Amino acid sequence: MDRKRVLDIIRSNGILIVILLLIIVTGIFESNFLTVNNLLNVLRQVSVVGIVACGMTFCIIGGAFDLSVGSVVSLAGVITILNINAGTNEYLAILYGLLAGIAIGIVNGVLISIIHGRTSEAFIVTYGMQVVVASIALFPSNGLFISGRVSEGFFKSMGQGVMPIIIFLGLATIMQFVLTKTPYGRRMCFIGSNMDVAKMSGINVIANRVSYFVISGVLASLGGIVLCSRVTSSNPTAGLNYEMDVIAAVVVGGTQLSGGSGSVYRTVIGAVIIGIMSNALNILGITAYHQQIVKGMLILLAVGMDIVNKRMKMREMTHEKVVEE
Amino acid sequence: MKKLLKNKQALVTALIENAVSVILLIFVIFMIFTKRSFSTWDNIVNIINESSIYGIAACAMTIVIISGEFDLSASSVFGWSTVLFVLTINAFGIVAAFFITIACGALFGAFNGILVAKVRMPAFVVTLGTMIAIKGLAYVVTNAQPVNTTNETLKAIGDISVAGISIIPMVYLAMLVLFIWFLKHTRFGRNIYATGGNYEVARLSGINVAFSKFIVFTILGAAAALAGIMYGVRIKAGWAPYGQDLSLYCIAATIIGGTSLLGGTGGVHKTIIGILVLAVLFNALTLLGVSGSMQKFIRGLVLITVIMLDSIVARRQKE
Repeated sequence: MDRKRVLDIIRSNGILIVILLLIIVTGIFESNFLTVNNLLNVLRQVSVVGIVACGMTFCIIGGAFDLSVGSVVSLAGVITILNINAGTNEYLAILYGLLAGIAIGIVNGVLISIIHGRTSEAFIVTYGMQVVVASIALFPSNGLFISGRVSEGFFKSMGQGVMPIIIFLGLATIMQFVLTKTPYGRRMCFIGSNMDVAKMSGINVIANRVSYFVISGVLASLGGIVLCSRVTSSNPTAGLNYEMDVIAAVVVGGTQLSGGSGSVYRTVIGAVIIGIMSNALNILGITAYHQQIVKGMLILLAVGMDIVNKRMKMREMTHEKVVEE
Repeated sequence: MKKLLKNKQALVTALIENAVSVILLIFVIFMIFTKRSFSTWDNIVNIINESSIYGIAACAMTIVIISGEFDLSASSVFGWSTVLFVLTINAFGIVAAFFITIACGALFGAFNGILVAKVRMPAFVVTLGTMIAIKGLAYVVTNAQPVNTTNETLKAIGDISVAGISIIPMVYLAMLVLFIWFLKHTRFGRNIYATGGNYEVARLSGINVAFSKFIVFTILGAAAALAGIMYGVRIKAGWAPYGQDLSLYCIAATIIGGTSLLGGTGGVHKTIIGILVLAVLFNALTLLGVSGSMQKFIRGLVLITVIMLDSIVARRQKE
């Protein structure tokens, strides 16, 4: 029986064990891997993807999908930096950046609600938005870098030191609380698992779904602003293909794309796993291109193990039932 | 009067159902009258040549979508194939290069297919993973540098042209005929429709659903490789980032053509319209002197409009 339990633990935490092994191996070979400084560095690196991924998690649990986040990351950075350079109050500049994300979220949500879209329609509509928003981000500077004329203040501090980590983990905690402990979060799981039944039970599905896109948009904006603050400049193509990294974090964490279940903590773990992996591979001297191969395999492994594991559990349960009878 | 009204209603329904073709027609007429260079033979040939490469992959993508799945990794298979084709041409000659590249593409597709059909993993995740991994592979093999070839036979094939039309549209046409025949007139093709329409019902009626899902990914892998080869024929070079937007372009063309992402309906012949709409649009915008980022903007708007229109029409039909 004990052996079975150990096996069970190994099976359900397979990906964590793989990463743990990677950490141990890297830690043995490279002394500067397991230092507080390096681990903080990893967290800082994943915080932007992590912030955006938290919003994406809400979207996915609610039975939708947002491919436009990468472009929103670019656009929010461009807007904030332009405003700061024009002499706007930095809090207002940040607010403008966030408002852009909210506006795009509303457009996404309303368009998808009009056609009663499910995941597949959300996929195409938000892909269209991704293309549109990416081009809007290119207009102000003709696609060029904009360096920010700012050396101190709140905006500058957002991307420095432990600030991004605090923002990331703080947000994740709040969102996990909202998801598990509030009626809003419970409704999200309901809508995500069965939209029609949720509607028949008297839930305002449209308003709720629009709110998921707004959350996803505003967090993408926040991620873009933090990214901008870290390098004190904006690149109108900074968020290119960001959505794929974000979805990878959600998926490796174990939230299913079919909606209705999942957790923000899992996404945090997913983002950190990917971050630690690329950091360890970096320290071991493996190139970014080799890392891409490993990352792709990691996604397949994480989800594949999750699915096979669930199926085996299901089979065991039915088997036990038969034995009892 | 009543009959007239009924005819009018029928006309309106027909117009709405073929909204995309109507829009294409109006747009073409508009362009013919505003830009003289649009309706020249050279420009028409240009549109055909340009749209053929992605068209090959888009038709295979349509088959995948009909089976109720979709594939993000086709873009990476395309980029990888341009690299592999050029490298193997330099090493083994053009015939071997052709078969090796196609086989490799089919192998990648089969890998996707096994994970989706047998392990029952969601296609989005599987193809996201392979997309990242295959792109990485192409970068690693070439060290992120473009590779090129000066093979004489390849140059000769690239120079073949009938009234300006190169060999690529001919291959595209052949693939179209093959795919349409495969979908409409073979047991496998009809099984794919059944699998995409209702997986459980298809399974219970004795259709090998897993095989249907497996084979569509393999076909797309091979077709994406063929598209990559055609790109190689045109520019005689290979590079990992080539064709990055291929997957989403193909999905967009399929949906614009009128094949639903839900699966079970549609057809390759519809995707031809989707490809044409995108090709004519890009061509017209370029002729009108619209800048690159503005073109992107309009492209996104068109995509959103078409999917909105399509969904609204589909829902009205259901009611």
